[in-house]
Amino acid sequence: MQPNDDFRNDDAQLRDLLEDWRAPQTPLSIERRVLASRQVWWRFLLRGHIRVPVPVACCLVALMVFAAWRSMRPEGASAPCSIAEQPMVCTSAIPGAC
Amino acid sequence: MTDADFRDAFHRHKDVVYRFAYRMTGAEPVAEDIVQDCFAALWRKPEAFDSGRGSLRAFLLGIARNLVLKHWRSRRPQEELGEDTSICEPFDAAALERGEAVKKAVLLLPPLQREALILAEYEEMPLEDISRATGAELAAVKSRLHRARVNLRRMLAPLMQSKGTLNATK
Repeated sequence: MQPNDDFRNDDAQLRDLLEDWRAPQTPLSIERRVLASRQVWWRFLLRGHIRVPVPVACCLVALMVFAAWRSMRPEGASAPCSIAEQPMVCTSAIPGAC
Repeated sequence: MTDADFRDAFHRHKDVVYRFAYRMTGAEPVAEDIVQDCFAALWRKPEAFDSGRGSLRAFLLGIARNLVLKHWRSRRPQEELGEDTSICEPFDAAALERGEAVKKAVLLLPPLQREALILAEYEEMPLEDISRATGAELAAVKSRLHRARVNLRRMLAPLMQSKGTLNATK
């Protein structure tokens, strides 16, 4: 027997062994999944994802925090103080006193 | 690509893509996800397939291969995917059922060796097609295949010896 025959025999043995591991049948559900997934393009809105660079994400978070802070602040909190003119109300019972 | 073309491609190639994904990952749910993503990629960008550069089967296996490696990287972010020349240590293959032992041995191979072996041995793809599907040089494919066989012989030695003895006694 030539050394090459040994190698071939070994390879044939290996091939025989490899055949002992059988892959399962393709599940029937795959067809439904594949054909359904390509029809609903808007599914991306539910399951899709996008990559956002970290600096952009940080800016967006900062903007959101600022917007939230602005919306939660009581109105006029930062307005300059001013003396509002009050209408004169006469409380005296004497006619012509005011 | 029309709906009929897509369905035809799906029915002709779904099994080979599923078998490849399953043998690469060893997990049926992952293989199902990979088949879905693979055909979704074909549907979204059919113009990416150029029949002049190879068969649709090789093209789809190339997509599946990239998805498998993406899955592999997500599970092992620290590990580099390079030419792995490490030698797989033998395990007690004789203690396992033969199919289980082979599955364990194949899954223990480094990913690049595993894909070369699966495409060559299980899918009987020509080396040129494997080279195209994996984006590797022909020499690299041959080298990976050789190393994969050496590693498998080493890991499955107890089973091969017993088979050899059986043949010798016939």
